[in-house]
Formats: sequence, C-alpha cells, structure tokens
Amino acid sequence: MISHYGFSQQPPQELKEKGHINTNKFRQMYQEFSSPNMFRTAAGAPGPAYYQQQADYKMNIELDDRNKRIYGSETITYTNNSPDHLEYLWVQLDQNIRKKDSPSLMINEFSTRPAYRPSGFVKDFLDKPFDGGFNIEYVRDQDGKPLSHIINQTMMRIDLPNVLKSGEKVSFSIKWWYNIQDHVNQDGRSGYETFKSDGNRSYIIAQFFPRMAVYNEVEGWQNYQFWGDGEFALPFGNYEVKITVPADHILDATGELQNRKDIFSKEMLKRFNEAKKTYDKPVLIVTQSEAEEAEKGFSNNKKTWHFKAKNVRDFAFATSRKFIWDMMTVKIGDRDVMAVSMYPKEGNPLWEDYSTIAVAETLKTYSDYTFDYPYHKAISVHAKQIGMEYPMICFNFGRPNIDGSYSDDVKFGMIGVIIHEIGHNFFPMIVNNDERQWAWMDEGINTFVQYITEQKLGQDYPDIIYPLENFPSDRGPAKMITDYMSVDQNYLAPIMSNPENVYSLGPNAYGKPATALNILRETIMGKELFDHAFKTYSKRWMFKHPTPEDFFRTMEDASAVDLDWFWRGWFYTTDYVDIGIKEVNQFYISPKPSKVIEEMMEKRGIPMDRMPSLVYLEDFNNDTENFKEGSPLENSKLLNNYLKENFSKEEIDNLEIPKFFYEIVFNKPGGLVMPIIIEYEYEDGTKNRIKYPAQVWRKNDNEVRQVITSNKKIINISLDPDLETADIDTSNNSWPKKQEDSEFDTFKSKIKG
Amino acid sequence: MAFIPHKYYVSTSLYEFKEDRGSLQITIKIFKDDFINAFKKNKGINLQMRDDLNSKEIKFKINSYLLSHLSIFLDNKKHELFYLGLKKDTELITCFLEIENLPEFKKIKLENTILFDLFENQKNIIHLKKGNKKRSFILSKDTPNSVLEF
Repeated sequence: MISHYGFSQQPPQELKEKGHINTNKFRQMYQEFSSPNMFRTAAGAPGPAYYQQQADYKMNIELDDRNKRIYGSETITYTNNSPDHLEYLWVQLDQNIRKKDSPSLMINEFSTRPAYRPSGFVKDFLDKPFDGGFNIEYVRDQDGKPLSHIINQTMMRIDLPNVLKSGEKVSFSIKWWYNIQDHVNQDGRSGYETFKSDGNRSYIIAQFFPRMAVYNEVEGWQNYQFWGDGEFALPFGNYEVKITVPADHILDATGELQNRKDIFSKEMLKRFNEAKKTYDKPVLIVTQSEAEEAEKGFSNNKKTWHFKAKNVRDFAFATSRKFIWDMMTVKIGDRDVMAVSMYPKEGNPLWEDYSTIAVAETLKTYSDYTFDYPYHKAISVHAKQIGMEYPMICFNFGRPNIDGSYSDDVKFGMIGVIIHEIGHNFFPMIVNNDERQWAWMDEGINTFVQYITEQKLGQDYPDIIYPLENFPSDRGPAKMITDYMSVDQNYLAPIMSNPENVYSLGPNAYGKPATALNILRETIMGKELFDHAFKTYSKRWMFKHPTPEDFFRTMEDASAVDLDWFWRGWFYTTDYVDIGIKEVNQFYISPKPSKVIEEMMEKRGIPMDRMPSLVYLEDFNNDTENFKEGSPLENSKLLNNYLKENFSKEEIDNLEIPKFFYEIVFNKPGGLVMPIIIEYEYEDGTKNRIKYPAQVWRKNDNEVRQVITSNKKIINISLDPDLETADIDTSNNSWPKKQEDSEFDTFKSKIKG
Repeated sequence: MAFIPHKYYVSTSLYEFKEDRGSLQITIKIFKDDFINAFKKNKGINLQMRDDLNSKEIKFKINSYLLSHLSIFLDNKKHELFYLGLKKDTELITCFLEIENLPEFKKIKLENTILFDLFENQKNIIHLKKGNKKRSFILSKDTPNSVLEF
C-alpha cells in the first residue's frame, strides 16, 4: 500500500525488472555476421561480383653464403580486378620486423631478473642489435623512372603517378638486399642454421622479397603491420624466379624447375626418372654419403635454378650443400604428384624413414576431405625448431640425438608437424584466408584435418605407431581442450580475436577451433553431413579468399543443421562446457495420491475425498508399503479400467506399461550449450543411450528435465560417457555421484602399498 | 605455422587443499620430453636412459630439481613441500607432491618456475581447489608467482 502522507514517507521499492535484448543462445547471428552482399552470398559462396586481385612476380635472387645475405631484384605486375580505382598500392616488407629500430622489438614486455647466466646477460643488455630489414636500392616504374614511395615499418606505400583504374594492370620494379638471420639463435620462420661440426649452413628462405598486400572489399588494403604473431594475407599470382646459389648446393623451391638438365647430373636425372614411377617408397636423388662428401666442397662456383609457379600466393626455397634429397610419386585423383623431402644427415634416421611417407599420406587424406591437391609437388624440408608453411614447400623440426636415437615424442612430433605444414598447402595456400586478421581460419581448420590424417596414418601404418593403437594426437579430441578452457577467464580470448592480442595463441587458434570442428563432425552434425559441407566450403573457396562468415554460412547452408548457437558459443565467447546431473527423482505408479498431492490439498483446505480419480505417480522415497514392486495395472485400478474400455485385449497385451519413471534434472553451470548424451545402466547390467539435441536448452539455459521410463530399475546414469562434449568438470556427470579416488590418492596408495 | 616449436610449452598443476585431511596435494603434469631436457640441462643427467625414475638416487635428484622451482607461502610463511614420486605416460610425466599438517590460512603465494630455464615461452597453468572454490591462472617467465586470498 502506498502511503500519501507528506513528503517524508518513501513509496515502497519497485521491484520491476528491466527489459532486455534477445540473449537467447539460439538466436541467429544476424548482428555478428557481415551482411551478405554481391561479393559474398548468404549461402557462404562467392557472389556474382566477387573479385580478387592478382600479383605476378619475375625475380632474380642471389644467395651470398659467405655473408649470409640475399640480393634480389623483381618486377611486380599487379592486376586490379576490383571495381575501384586505386591511387596507391601497399607492398609488404616483412624483413623490416628485424630492422634495428623496429617498433616490433618494443611491443613485448621486458623486465629485469634478480640474476642472469652470463650468456643471458649479454643477450639482454650487451648484444649489438642485428642489422636486419630490407635495404631498398630502388623502386622504379615500368619505364625505369623512380616511383614515389614511403615506408611505414613493414608496409611500403607506392604512390602511383596515374590512378590504376578498374580492370587495368601496372608494373614496377624493386631492387633490395638484406641480412639473413640465424633462426636458431634469433627468432623467425626462416633464416639459416650453422652446423659447427662441418662449418656449413642450411638455409630456409622465405618472406625474402617485397610482396603485394591484399586489397579486397572486406578490409580495403590489408596493411595491418607485421608484428610477429599475426601471419600473412597474400594475393594469388604467377611467379618466375631465378635463384643463384653455390654450385654444390641442393635446392628446392615453390614451382616447377625449368632447367633440370642444366642443374642435375646424369645420375640424379636417372634417379629422378625412377622416382617419377615409384609409388611405394622414397627414391634417393642425393644420398647421405653424397651429401657428406659435398659438405667438404665449399664451391666458389655458382649455379642458377629457374622456377615457374602458377597460381600461388607466395614463394619460398631451401638450399644447402648438406641436403639429402628423396622423392616419391603419389596418385591424387588421376594425376601424379611428387612427395619430396630434403634434410641434412642430422635429420637421419628419422627423416629417411618417415618424412616422405608423411607427406604422401597428408596429400592423400587432405585431398579426400577437400579437393585433389592441384600442384605438382609438396616438399618437406628439415629445419631445427621450425614449423612453417609456404606454397609447395614447408620447413619442419624433428632431429634425433647425435647418436641417431630418438624418443617417441620426437618421432611423433616430427610426423605431426610434417602433416600440419604440408596440410597448410590446402589452408591457407589454396583456400587463401586473411591470416593477419584471423589466425584460426587456417590454423584451426588445418589442425582439425591434421588430426584426421594422423589417425589415418596410424591405421594405415601400424608399424610406425607400434605398440600404440592410435597415433598420439595432442589436438582434436574434446577431452584434450578442457584444461585450456577451464583456465582463469583473464587469460582467455575468444577464437574470433586478432592473433596479436591473444594470450596463448597455440590453444586459442589451433587447439580450440580444431576441437570445435571435431565435435561438430563427431557429435553435432555427424560425419556424413559434416564431410559434405566441409568439402563444399573447400571447393567453393579453392584459389579464392574466404572470410569466417563464408565458412560458418557454408557449413550450415549445405547441411540444414542450424549452427549459429555453436559458432557463437565456441568462436565468439570464452564460455566452456559444464553440464551436470543435478538430481534424479524416481517414481512408480501408486494406488493412492502422492504425498505431494496430499500436502497441496491440505494447503488449499480441500478434503482428500474431493480429489478426482487420477493416475498417481509417487516418489520412491515415500513408498512405505513397497508398492513400486507391484504391477502398474494392479496399483492403478483407474488406469486398468481405462485401458480395458479403450483398447482390445490384444492391444493391451502389446502395450509396454512402464513400472519406473526417472525424472532427471540436468543443470548447466557452464555457458556453452551442448547436446545431452546419457548412458543409463539397468539392474541387470544392460545399458542404453539417449542423445537429446542441443536445442533442448533453447527455452531454459540453466535447467532441463527429462523422463526415462522402464520396467527394469536403473541403477546408474552417466552424462557424456565418451567425453565428447569437452565438459570441464565431470564430477557432476554421474548419478549416483561417483566417489572416485583422485589421481593423487591412487598414486599415494600405490607407493605406500 | 605449426608454431612455437613442438606443441605448446605448457605444464598443468593442480593444487588441491584437502581440508578433512589437513593436507595440500599437488599434481604437476609436464610433457615428458620437456622434463627430460630441463633435467638434463639443470642436473646433467639424461633421465631417458633410466628405467626406474622412482629409485632412491633419481628420486633425490628430481626432488631437488622440483623443490628449487616450487615454493609455497601460506600467510607469508614458507612451507616445506614433500615429493612423493612420479608417474610416466606416453607423453606426460606426472609429479606428486604434498604438504601435510596444513594450518588455517588466508593468503597463499605460489611460485612455479618449472621449465622457465629451458623455454622462454613456458606457461605453467595452475588450478587451485579449496572446498568448492576453484581458481586458475597462468604463470610465465614474466609472472612466476601469484598471490591469492581465499
């Protein structure tokens, strides 16, 4: 009652809640997604106005082995396929991340420590900064006249004297050199390694030339700086590259070798032709003893290797006189593709045993799930502590001990990284997403197919994984991501975050999205629907540039499985899965009204004899006369009569009238919505499973009730018995609650006993 | 990229306070190869070559390695950790440590620098469980310890 006496009396507090926007977890992602348009359709496919630019390169490159330097000159021909007129172009200068005055050296934290090892002290405070970065000698137009340009860290803007109109091409040339860095002792995805034992270097060279940035209708120019963690956005084009290295070097690169007859000895040509028709094991083009001999050479002569590559987004190469070289042919569809490995003796025996096999298995498996690998070869190059991908060539770690021994970890780590990097040919080299903005689109998707390939390799080559039964993948299965997802929220970022700003990039961009896709495949969509949608996406965006929406839309569009709730939860939030069995209420058919009804009638002051005749369910706990063991039709005369009046005797005999009713109350302490998968066990030991779809949570995000009826007593109910949902806390997954010994207690009792 | 060479440099530790027993149980999971390499660097012993990692001699050395990288302060008082032993799996090594006769406390300071001497990017994920309260955080070379009030 509101009092109106004077001003000193306050009206009672209004407890009316405020209104809210649509927060239902199943709402469609109209607000999060970009609007579909003529460039990218609502179905997730390229639209009628879709365009992409093209950048062709003609390059002459020389490696100065003595000074660890690259000299280069190039002519870039850029085709403007956009409807827009361009006044300037942006060119990426990745090596500038290593310029002495580079701000990228200053964006990470630096603190003091109370004590240092002398080498650490020198590294932190006394070392001369490395003289890295591109030294640009000239930027000239197609007539050889200087072109106006300005360098902003790792991005160079070229100011075109004439606007580049839609549909037109422009060419310009750049000459440069830079110092290659030691990738073992410094940082980087490329560089050299010096082998003290023989004084030779092996080079893995990438990001070695000024290259075009991407221009599109999503970002305009993708000219976000290269700070180190965010990777690359690159247009497709055709490359012609001539690389001059010491004459005794073995080299391989992106593209088809044009002058093999000038480079290869007669013996190498013979072996190469042998490899072209060998499908079951690698053929050595350069053997270990030949490589060991070459290590002593230090030739002062030079050789030029000439390559041409069509429709690639980048170019890389590896060269050393230490390289052993093997090749094997793989049948992909109706074409022959070459699987190649290059490695110094330090990689053996691991590399000669497994590298090319892993390359071949990767090409075959990825082709099964996406499209036939369209290039003519894929190379795996041995490099210490590196895992990095380029079109047709990648650099991979995996080095045994000096005596040739190696642990399982080294072996499986090597096979895993080779699969991963070769797999990158598909994502992002061919399905070419903007890695600078979305690391997960290639890393997460690739890690998912890597997991499938690792498992396939284990099945196809049981000897390689013996005595294990399955390849020991460390990413993919749902239960392997729960540690990461249960970390303190301060250290978590959604998958849909720029990679530069993410705390733990590994699990965030690799593990979590890969696991999400695995869960989609195995638990939400099923393999048939998933595989078809995934292949549709891959084929739609082959040799094109997809955005996250294109992937999200295609997976739904091609399967009729609504996934908005899944994408939002897994990709746009840091929510985790925690579903539990809150309580289980057990009922039987009772001859008299239940205690609950009695109490309710009493509250309302209605005598029990006014209660209409109904079929009553009573809780097990209130069964004082053991009615639950009786037959339902004997307990409920009403039900018995009703059936007799409405069904024939035959029909009644065929009815399954349940004896027991289990009402399960599920709760969801975690934010993510997932299907409810339960396995229940009867008294007689038999088991059964039910899977409620995720939509069961659509009206109540906190609690859901379900009923199981049966004629046998249920003694045990387990939630997510196969650990498919990435539930971070399984202590609330059982009824009755399991009192399991912790890992700690199990160990302690073992050593004490 | 596949990365940050070799998986991700992470260890996971569970510090569970068993109030009914008055003890703190610590379970630390580290990638087996990382542990072997760190140990080799620190003590000069290659654990890969040893079969029984719980033998007296090895246990003593592992104990000294772990204790030099772990410390716990309860209400500003340092407490002794007791190393029980370790379990070896395909990929992981699980170390078990314990503090018995735990007093009541309000503030805990934890330091865990395992593998920091080997890897710049090592992250040690710590889960603390006391009753039904759970806190988790990540320790790294830049933040090797954490202070919490329960």
